Amino acid sequence: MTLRFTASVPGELRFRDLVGAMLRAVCLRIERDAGCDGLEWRMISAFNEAFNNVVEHAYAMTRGDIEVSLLVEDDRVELHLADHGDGFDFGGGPAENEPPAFEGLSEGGMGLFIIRSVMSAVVYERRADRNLLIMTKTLSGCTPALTAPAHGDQTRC
Amino acid sequence: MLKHDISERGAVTLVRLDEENLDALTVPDARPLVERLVERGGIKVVLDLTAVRIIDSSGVAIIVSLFKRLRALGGALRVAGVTGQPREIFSMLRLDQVLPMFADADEALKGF
Repeated sequence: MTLRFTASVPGELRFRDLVGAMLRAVCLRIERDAGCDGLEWRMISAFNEAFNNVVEHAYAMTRGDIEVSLLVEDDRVELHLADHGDGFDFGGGPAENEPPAFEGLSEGGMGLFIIRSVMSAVVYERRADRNLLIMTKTLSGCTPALTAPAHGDQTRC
Repeated sequence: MLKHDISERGAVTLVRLDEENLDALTVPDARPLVERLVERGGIKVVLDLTAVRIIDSSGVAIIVSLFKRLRALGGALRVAGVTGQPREIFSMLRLDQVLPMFADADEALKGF
């Protein structure tokens, strides 16, 4: 069973924590039920960086909404951020496993590095005028009870 | 306005942040505080982040900026009380290898 939580908010920083509260609640529930330690801080860290990026870059010259979807599967959690702002060069950041050099640290470089570091996979797509960032965290060794059937056996860690 | 407290401990300025988030939302309010500290020249600063639960790249950037600017003026920065998500982020960026980090403010003040 797939659980999907979706919210659409104006692309302004003041709305970020409203969606973040939803993400935090779902991820803490998964942590508690399935023992997926560290899921909440990883998801919030990636979400904050991605949301900031949309507000500060995609919507730097225009205004629009950000649609956030959280998909909970048996083996993974996916976080989708979609917007209709300017496109973004997601390949311009530092190497995946190498943090930005201290003397040349920039917010942009750090943000991308943080997203890549805390997530299992990150995919960016630009289609027509829509940006879609898909961030996936695999749940190795634990299965969210949220996705289990209401009756019958539940697979737990 | 960023919630914080500044006190003088001998030759060291102790700055306690009283915010749960040091991020893109709160960093604009932190910039005047950084400017005030830098304007005082080569001072020693302990930045107590015990209250901070969530940090993002904006928050990291302003700490790194303060560290570099104080160092350039002959001063120094020590960071205290970094736990949880902020600790993970600092470690991920290997800032714990560059920034002097201490368990709490008292430890950071010792021998500074």
